[in-house]
Amino acid sequence: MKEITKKITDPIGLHARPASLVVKEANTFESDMKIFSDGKEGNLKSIMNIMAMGVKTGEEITIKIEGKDEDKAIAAIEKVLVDNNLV
Amino acid sequence: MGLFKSKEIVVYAPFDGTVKPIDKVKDQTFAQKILGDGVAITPESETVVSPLDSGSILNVFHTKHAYGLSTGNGPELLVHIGMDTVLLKGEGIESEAVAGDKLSNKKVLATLDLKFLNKNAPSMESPIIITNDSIGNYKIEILKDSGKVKAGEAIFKLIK
Repeated sequence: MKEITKKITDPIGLHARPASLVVKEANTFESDMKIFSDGKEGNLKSIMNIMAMGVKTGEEITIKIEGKDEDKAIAAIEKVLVDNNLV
Repeated sequence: MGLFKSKEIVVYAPFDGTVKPIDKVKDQTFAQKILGDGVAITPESETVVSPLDSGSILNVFHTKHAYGLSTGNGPELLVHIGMDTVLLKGEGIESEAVAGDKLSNKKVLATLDLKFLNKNAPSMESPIIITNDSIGNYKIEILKDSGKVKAGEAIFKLIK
């Protein structure tokens, strides 16, 4: 299992468009991926799950990835978060 | 109820307006169908009614501009009012709808202040899409993607 914790710095939080970029990347991997924030939990492969969490600016998210391609997946997800200035 | 009867979910226009294919919107995330497939409508009436006649509300984004809806059969619908309206932090959109509310074709999701929104939102093109990760075995069939549309008119359907 791989895990990263980051603080959301996008001024509006994790809304539809940035979340969709993360979900798109997540769906290219086999591993199970979960996102946790403020006591809530969501499937990183579901745009609705992530939007329902309503993660706001300044809140921390933890992403947990488990499966065959977890090493590649965690690196790819982290890259999407950083490249799009979400964290 | 036969084994071979196909399942169909119809999605209706949530307001009057001008409709266009999703790949013709300015915002590239939506145009490239990264979130999902559907159409975009630029609203010309102020009441946002449910585009589904059954199902429930999954989530209302805290800035009131995005509504996640469950069809109850797997596929999930996103109604995204305007482009970059997230920056308005809820101004120009009133909503009483909350997660868990049941949907019918009379359910009001929100009321728009079009005078304010048309002036302050970067664009009022409003995508109505089935999210890619929820579509499963359903196929989307677009019924209307040009010209004027009335609230309650069928815009696309899902078939499996």
